[in-house]
Amino acid sequence: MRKAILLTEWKAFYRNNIQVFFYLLLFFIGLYAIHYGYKEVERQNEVIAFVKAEEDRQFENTLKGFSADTTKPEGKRLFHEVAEPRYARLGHRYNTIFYPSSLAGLSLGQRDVFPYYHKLNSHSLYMQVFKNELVNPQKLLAGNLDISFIIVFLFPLLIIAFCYGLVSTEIENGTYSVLKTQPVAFSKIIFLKVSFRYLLTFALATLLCVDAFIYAGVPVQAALLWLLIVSLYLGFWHGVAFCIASLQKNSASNAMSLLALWLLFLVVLPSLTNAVSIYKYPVNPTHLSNGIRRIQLEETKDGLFKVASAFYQQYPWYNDRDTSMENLYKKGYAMAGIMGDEKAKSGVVRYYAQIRNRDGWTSQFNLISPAVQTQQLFNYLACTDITNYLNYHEEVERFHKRLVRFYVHPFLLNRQLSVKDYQHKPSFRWLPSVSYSRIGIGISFLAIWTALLWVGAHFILKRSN
Amino acid sequence: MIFAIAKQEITGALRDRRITGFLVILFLLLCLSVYISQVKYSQMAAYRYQAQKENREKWLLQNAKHPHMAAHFGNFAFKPVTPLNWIDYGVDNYTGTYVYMEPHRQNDFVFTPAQEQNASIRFGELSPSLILQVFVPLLIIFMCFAAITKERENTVLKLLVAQGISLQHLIAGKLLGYFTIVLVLLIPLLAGTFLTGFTINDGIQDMSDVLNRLALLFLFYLLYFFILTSFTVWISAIMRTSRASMLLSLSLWILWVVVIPKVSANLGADNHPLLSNEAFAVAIKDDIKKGIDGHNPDVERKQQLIAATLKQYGVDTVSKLPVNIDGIIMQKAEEYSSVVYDKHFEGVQEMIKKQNEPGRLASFIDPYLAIRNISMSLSLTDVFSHIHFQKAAEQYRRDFVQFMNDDMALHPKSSNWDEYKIDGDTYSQITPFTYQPPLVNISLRQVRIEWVALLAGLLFLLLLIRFTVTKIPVV
Repeated sequence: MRKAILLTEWKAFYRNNIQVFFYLLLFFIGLYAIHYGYKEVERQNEVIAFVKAEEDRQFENTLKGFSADTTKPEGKRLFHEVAEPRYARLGHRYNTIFYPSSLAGLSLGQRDVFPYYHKLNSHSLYMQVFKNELVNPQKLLAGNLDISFIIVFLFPLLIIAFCYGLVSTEIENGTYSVLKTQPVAFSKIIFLKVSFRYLLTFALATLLCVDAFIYAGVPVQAALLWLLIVSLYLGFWHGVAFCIASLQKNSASNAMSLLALWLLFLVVLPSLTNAVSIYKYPVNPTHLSNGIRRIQLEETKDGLFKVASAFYQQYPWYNDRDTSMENLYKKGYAMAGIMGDEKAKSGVVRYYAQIRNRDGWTSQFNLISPAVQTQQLFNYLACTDITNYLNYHEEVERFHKRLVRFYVHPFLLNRQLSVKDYQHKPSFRWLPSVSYSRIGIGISFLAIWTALLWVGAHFILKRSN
Repeated sequence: MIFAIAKQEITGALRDRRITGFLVILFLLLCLSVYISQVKYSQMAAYRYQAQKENREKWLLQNAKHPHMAAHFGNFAFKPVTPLNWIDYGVDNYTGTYVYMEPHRQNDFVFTPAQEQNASIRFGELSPSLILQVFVPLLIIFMCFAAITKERENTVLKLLVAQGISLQHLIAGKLLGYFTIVLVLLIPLLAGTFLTGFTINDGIQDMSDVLNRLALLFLFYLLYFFILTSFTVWISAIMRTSRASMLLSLSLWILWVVVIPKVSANLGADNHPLLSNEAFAVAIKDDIKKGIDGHNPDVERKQQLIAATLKQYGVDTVSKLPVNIDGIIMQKAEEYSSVVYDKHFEGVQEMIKKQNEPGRLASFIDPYLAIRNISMSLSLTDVFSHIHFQKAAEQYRRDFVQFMNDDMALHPKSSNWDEYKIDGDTYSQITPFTYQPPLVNISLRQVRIEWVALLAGLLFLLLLIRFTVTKIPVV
């Protein structure tokens, strides 16, 4: 009997040209989305390769300074540029890079909004770290047509098109009473019909995702988690359609209710949440203007002495008791850079805390909003969410401290840098991490939603019969 | 007759609990969005106004120092909030909010609001324009999808035609009825919300310009609603069943609001990729160092300038010059870098324009894209308005840096940077940064494709109704 129902459903599906058309259309849009997502990632990888090559070339050239002929002025200059931390601390630029994960092309998240690399020297961090990539704001507003968008936004529409007539068409075609007289429970028939549609859409989504997994070499564990999220999200929408169908209203009314729910979950709830989060948790970056200002010094002996005194009070081990104008001038900017960052630090910490608070509230609220939750889960898994960016920024701060230690520390101790020092020069090593606890919570909520809807629909249908 | 039909439709629609329910929800959402967006923008305006004021004070109160050092202390330009921003957020979430202005370089606009939010911001943010552009069309669809089909399904259409009512009059009457409901809902709402919005105005924008923009916004939104109402009624007339009519209308809505905007933006970006910031910076640096044509390096430019200045004053060494050569060199370098920056930024702006082109042209098949672009342009939250502001800030940077360089050049006795200093008197001669947004006619010119598309759409629809009305099935 089960086989007969599934076979009938299959026949009904492939004989319905419109349904087959939408199914294929979504498949091709999905293929384009995979192409688009990975093209974006490739573009970012090209930029990363470009900046890395620039950095390598820089060090290749600069290290030649150690073997330069210092009897000649040009050779002397080259030697000073590499061995004197006074010059090297400004001239040497290091890249900190936020590499895209293998899943990034499937869910670009905020990768296009945040700068994904920074070029830094050991001078004031805050003067350098706040920057933006060249972007078209209208493109950012429109968003990315990646596979996560297809799954979150368009798959529910396909499900609605497949499911709005689950029960109502049986009533409208006059087959309802025939089905009721069958030995199999009516609710089971409808359950099988929904399950068939679920398998059909999940097969399409899996086909698309597996294409992308193979293309990008996604690790099996991440791929399976991704598919689990997809299966639950599609299950959620089939559950919604199952519930609406079990109320046994006419097809037009079902379609209308389903679309209203689509609108609620995909547009109304998220846009309302965003507006409320911005209202409830204002973020004010204007007070950071002082921190990003170029370091200024009063270049008089008095002015420089004041800076040095303040600095030595905090870092007495750097005090070389040399109060000559030349020494003060040479080191003043480096000292002011460190103190400037320290002064601005509390403002920056406050700014990021405001962002984290807002994110915390939105993420909690989104647990009850399955569509946004699914998008968030995709982003967590693809490491394209804001948390990873905030972690990246923290790592950039730590890396900058190492740069300061490498260049400014010997500079203030009147030491030169050697070839050996450069063998241990700082390098930025950080990879985004997947927050499995967040994913676990999100998946649990999604699973609860889905289970409640399926069980609820089954229950309603049973009771009404 | 038309009025009688219209009246009948209005009564009928208002008796339908689903439609009145929708109306109430829409009304409440609109009120909420107006409140939230006004709070958001007032707060933003207060933050930026305060920051602009504080930074100005800092500029005036900085220590006495050499003009070039003072120029490096720099100024800030905070993007001001204009009175209609809150109606349509446009690209505001995706543009930087302020810039640090100093000599030698054009810095990035930093602190983009979207960077302060998790990825759910990509689902959009509740704003009055979201309600007007996305939700009101749905109300129109739910009200009108069965306008004619229900008469046909109830066989009333046959009776009406038999009584001598022309289909043209019937459609016109229904159109009038539904459009009146949209109007009645929106006139007081639009008028009320638009009026309260004037509280967010720190006087940077001319009020008559604001009113003109408002009137145009109002007119364009009405045009948008009218096009959607007549299109939905027309679909209802040509479709056999209400179900088919609704599905077609809703499919079009999804296509217009969800699919086409994203596909057109992605195609544009795909075909015209922007340079990375790093490649952009390298290109600028190279042009400044080697000369725009690659044959005029900065060292040679400097030597040529010194030679020309010596010749101009008829002296043979720099020390005999009555002016400070450092100031002149600095200013000429500034002018050269400005030409280089202009060349590269124009390239980027051109690319952005090309990226947005498919979306603009798609306005001919997608009224949502047309009204979205018109609305953000009139609310001064479109890309053009942002670039306009960027250019104004850049001009200010060039002017104040030039002032400082000129001051430096005019004080030849003190070429030693420790000896010559300026103070508050000179700082105050730099006027504070003020910004005049573009006038409405300039904004309108930016969206001419879009409003031509809307008008063409209206004309096309009226002709469509006129010529297809006779072929509409009665039974």
